[in-house]
Amino acid sequence: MSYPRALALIATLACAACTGEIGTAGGPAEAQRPLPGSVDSVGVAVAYAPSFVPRVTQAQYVNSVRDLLGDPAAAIAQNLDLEDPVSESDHTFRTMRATTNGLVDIAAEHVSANAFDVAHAAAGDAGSRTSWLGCTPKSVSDDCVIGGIGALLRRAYRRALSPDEMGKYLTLMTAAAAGEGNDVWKGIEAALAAMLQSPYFLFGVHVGEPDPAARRIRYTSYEMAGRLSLLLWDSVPDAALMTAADANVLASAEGIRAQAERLLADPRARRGVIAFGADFLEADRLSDLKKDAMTFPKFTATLAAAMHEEIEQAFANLVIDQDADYLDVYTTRSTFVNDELAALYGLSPVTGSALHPVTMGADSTRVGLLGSAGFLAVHAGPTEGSIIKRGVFMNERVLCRELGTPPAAAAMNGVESGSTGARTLRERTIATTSRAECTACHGRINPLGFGLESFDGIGGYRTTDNGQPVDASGTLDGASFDGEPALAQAIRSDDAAQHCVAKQLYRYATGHKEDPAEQPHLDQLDQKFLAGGRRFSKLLVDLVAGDGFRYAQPSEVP
Amino acid sequence: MSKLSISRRTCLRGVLGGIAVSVGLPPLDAMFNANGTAYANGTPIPKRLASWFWAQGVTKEWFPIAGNPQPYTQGGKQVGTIDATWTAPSELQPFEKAGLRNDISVITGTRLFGWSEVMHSAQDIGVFSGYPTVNTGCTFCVGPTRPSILEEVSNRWHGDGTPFPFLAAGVTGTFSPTGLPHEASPSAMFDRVFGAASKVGVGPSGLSTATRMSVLDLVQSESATLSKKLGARDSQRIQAFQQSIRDLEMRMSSQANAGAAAGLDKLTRPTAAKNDYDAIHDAFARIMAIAVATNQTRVLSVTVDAGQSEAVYSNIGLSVPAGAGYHSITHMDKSIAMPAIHAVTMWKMQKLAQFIGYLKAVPEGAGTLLDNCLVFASSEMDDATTHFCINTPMILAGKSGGALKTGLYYAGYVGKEPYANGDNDTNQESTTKILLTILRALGEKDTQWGQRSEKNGPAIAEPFGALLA
Repeated sequence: MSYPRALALIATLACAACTGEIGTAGGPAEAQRPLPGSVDSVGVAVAYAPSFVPRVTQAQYVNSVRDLLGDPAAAIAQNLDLEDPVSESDHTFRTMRATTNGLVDIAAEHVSANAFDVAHAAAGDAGSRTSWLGCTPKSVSDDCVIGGIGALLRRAYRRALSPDEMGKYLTLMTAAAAGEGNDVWKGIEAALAAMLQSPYFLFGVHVGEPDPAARRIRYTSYEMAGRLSLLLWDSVPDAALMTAADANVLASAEGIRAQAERLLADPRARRGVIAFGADFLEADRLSDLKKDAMTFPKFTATLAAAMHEEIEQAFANLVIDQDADYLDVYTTRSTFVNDELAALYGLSPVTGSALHPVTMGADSTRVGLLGSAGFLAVHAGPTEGSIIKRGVFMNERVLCRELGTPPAAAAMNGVESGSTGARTLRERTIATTSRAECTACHGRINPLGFGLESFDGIGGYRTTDNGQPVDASGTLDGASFDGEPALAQAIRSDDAAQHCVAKQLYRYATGHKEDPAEQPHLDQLDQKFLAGGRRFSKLLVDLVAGDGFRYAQPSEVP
Repeated sequence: MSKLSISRRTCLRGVLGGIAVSVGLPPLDAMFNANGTAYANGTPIPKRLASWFWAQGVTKEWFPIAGNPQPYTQGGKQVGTIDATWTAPSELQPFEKAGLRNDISVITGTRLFGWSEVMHSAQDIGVFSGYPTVNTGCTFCVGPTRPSILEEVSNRWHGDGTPFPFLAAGVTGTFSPTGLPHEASPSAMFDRVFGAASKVGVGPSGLSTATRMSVLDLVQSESATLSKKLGARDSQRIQAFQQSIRDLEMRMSSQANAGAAAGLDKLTRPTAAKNDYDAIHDAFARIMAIAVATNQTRVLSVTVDAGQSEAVYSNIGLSVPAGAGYHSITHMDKSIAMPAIHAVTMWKMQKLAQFIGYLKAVPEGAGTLLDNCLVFASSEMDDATTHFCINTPMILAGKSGGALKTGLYYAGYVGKEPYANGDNDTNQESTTKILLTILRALGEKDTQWGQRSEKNGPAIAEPFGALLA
């Protein structure tokens, strides 16, 4: 029940000087070094990500219920608020938290209550229940129920069930139906309730088996089916993927590749891609983001929701619909707005709360997702933007440049004017980070953060700050830029940005931050990514068919 | 039914004000012995543990004004002073005003060694666990390596017959350094603990309790099978899940039979607006007092705000930019930060006095519920404008069934400024001594707990002896 915590030093940290040992702090808790004899399939010494048992996320729970039992059940599943505690400066991916998140006490109670409710909604809905069961049942022991519940259980558990396990479900259904007025649907309801709160459904049981070919753990075909569907669909597998697992097709890279391509061609892939994109930009924080109502009266719950949806739609449109060069994420002029967002962006009015595609003009003051209001609002304070938060994000997430932990001696003053007379956020940030011990980090944080100074705390465009003209000029690796479109172009042109994409996806997919000994996986992925025109869809396929996703480091002995 | 239990029930009504409960549970109906020192059947009155955490420290106006401090020695060496005649500066006045001055002890002059490097989170986790924290894989992220004292005690007491292993409330958010999952809604907590025949597991489905319990049996059996297949860490996560489902089933069965048991009158379920921190704390404190009084649980955790919290205390009327979060305020210019921290600390101590006051208002045996409680209140730093995580401000309240002395001021570190000599100052005492003190006061047999330094220090083997009866 303990969960990782983070320190919000970034928010107000004026002087978090890097120690000069960049990249050494903040390493994984349990580094996975190559064991003697640990090699990849071509004999290169390499380490693997540890195997882990992720707890489902809120979205995965709802998506799975929808895929298994249909929309009426999914509507009830949405009532569940599955906690994923994350503090403001915890910049881990949700998949990393999933490896330690548990289901304890209140959370288990909520899941249990929701499982009963969902089961009732599904089994009680005469309009849809025969479609997910596949037939009309007469008694709990007829082939219809055994086959239908069995098929659902296989997908929910992502494996074949033993006769003993099926026997327990049959016993439950028989007793439940008998105890509830000889109602076969009550028996089915009880089975669904058990399925939805089973640990085999709520946790991804990915433990693997020893690989006879090398000293490493390989995921079984069934486990690969679960890993593929969670990553690519954010949900449980379909029947075809389970059939492929039955035939052990997912034991080979070719088999995985074929299934991954099939999954990516399905509309459900949108959910998987969006889950990564929103997590990458930390857009999920928008749902609970607090802004000062006096400073930002425009910032309503509906605007925050639109910001979130803009990021999702723009990201999915770019990487799925357009299958574009991934770095367009930073420079695209295509996005989606509704009435509130169009007003915030100063675009021609749009009617209604639904989002519509728009293309920003060539002279637009914002481009790409770093210019999206959702990103800018999340990486800001309650009353103003934040050069430091935005600069830290771009260093760590966009360029993969770790900043490390600030030294104990860092003075913890706010970004305040003090006696210097500084007035703008830029001036105040400079004033409070100018001491020698601050510049190792802030020499890299500030020049990038400056580029987003044209945007206030909710991502609205501005030309003045506290009565002074905004200065949004900065530098990246010696290249100067002025304003967000130029910053985005500089990022796109910088070698670090393109090499960072595969690394971030690898971290997301493996649920951990790589050990240096895993670098060969990253290098291979990176080469393929660049050679393939930086297409995200291709990167996903190469990732899941690669050793880094198929194998795990031998570590804990059960 | 004895006079004691009748007067107790009447008093519970008073404590709970507008809160409705319908419980008829052992302590209410059980008679105490003639002296009120135990239940009539000889069972001792149980001890209870509560924590109350607030973040970002205090001002200098919190630290007691010494009266007649006496040297306190341990192992032949003076380690601090003990003072029964201290007086309360402004930020401790709420206890004076609530008549609780002699129900609390104030502890200062201790720190955690090595934790300050990563500040808040490591420090607030450290206060409760006493063990090193671990970097969890991202910049600025830390997590505990060992359970907090609340988790530990809750685990040890689990299975003692109380339906809830703990109740945990977050007043401004649900993060907590105690590691227990905190609830944000008093209404939801009320429903869990006192809801009519319980809302536990009861959805619209109307599956009978027997069927529900069969479902939960299957889930538990699968969990048991699964946990055997996993490595230690994941196995523990599944076992914890299984335990929670077992608890749920136990509550379901006990509440299925509790329908006829009449306790207190049905009144109203508490409601508090989302950001009305006064109402939220008040409702939580009342619910928790009666939950403990009726043996629904023995472990409580209240977290007002966690380290680095950006809670907006608009209820207090601070002279700060509208909407400014509290952590940000503490980093503002001292001319703005100091008055705000003082005002927030005054408010927090009023709330803590309220929490303790509700426990004291319930008679139990010959004394009050508070006499059988141990309330551990703490922050993670002293002066928030410097953000130094030292000189940890702590309060112990309640007598823990006669094991604790109260009304005292214990000041660790003799001599210089408490943080003049950095991490290696052997004169300074570890905050972790409080955890061993708590375990001793709860009657646990531990001889040591935690580590003196986050890096690699020896275990803490001496409690604050001056505070133990």
